[in-house]
Amino acid sequence: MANPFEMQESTLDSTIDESVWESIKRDIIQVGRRLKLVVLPGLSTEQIQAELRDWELWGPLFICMSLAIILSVVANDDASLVFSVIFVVVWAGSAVVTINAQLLGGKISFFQTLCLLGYCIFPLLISTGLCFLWNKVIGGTIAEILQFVSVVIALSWSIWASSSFMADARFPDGRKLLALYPVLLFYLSVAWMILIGFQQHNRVAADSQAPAQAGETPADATDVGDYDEVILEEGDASRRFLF
Amino acid sequence: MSSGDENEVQFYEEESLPHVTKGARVEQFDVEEGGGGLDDEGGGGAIGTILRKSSHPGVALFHVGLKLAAIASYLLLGFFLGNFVVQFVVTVTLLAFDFWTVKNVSGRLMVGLRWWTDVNEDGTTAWRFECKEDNNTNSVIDSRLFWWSMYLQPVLWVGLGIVCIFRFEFTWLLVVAVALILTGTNLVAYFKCSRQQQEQMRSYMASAVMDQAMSYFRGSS
Repeated sequence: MANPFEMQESTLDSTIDESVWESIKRDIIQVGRRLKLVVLPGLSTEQIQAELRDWELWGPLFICMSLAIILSVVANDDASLVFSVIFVVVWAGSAVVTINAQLLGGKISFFQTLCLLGYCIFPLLISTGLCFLWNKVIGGTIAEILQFVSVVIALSWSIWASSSFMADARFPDGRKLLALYPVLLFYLSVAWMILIGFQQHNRVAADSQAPAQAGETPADATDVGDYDEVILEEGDASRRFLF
Repeated sequence: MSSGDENEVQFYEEESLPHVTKGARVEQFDVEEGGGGLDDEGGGGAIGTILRKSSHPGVALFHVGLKLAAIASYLLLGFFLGNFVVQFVVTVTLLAFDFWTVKNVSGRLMVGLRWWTDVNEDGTTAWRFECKEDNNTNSVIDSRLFWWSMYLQPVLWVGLGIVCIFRFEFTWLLVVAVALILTGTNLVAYFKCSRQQQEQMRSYMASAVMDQAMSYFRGSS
């Protein structure tokens, strides 16, 4: 299988004769470096542009699927619907945002920006992981507050990272904000879906605990029943809103 | 080259084809194998001969195997799991692996081509193509296997997409869309790349002919 001629030529700058392992290693290192770059931004404009020049979609695919998996695990019913909605929102959303920026006259490449927007969801993915953790470890109202705080922090982090990248695209005068506004909306909708998903999860969990408490204290049973109804209505409303 | 001839001879003995001229037999044999190896995995003998004749059997196996695995997980994994999310993730991951393998490994080893894109200063995308100078090291069976599978894969996914639409399974259409985007990109890129290679070959041949003519001219005068 290994061709002896390839070994000699691999010292050349061209990539047509590199070994398979080299290709894999190169890509994995690249994804890792970029994830770090999104979490800890602070590169000069030239470095960012050099980094963006060879885009790839491995990182965004990994981030998007992880986010969709966590949220579909959290979803109590219709995990498949939640998963596919997240998948579509992330990809179609970033595509629409990119096309908008292009139409506004920004000198940006489609796939480059898709790559960038996908990587900038990473803080939100971290916050989703934290939300999951707090649900398991702490639970209750404190967990809900912590979830809200962490998602808000991650959201501002995502917007900050992406806007510092987007600022390098040379937009015509006065159009930069027009291009950044949909980016903000995009991350806001993703963050909102994360929060809604966990909130719904918490409420259904509270529902399932409520009958057990009701069994212990029959006097409160009617109260709990009312509470259940209200919660179910709210849950339905948010579900209808989400899908 | 002698080992390759031996393999061919062995194959003819196994299949006992009618005695025609050798060149014609090679042609017939290759076409038959290219189609048969891809439509179904059936016939271990055919796969065996492909692997023996291929100059990179491991790469060829991965190239076809990942394509078949993606389609198999799309069609069959539901029977074993019944979990949409897992099936979706497995299928899309296999498709992404297949895309990566074709773009980075099997393309350059099986047909000696490679493509990538660069971004110009003004934000437009530029295709870049690379091709091996001496394409003789790649065997014919490799390039046939490569191109057959490259063309057949999007066609199969289009068919699966049509089935999806008629069964109103729109969540599954998402997987088909991902598959079509990935395989279609690779096919278009490699098609462009091979066209450029042919142009290069033609100009190279033309210059070679010119050189020959010039030397002949110089020799005679």
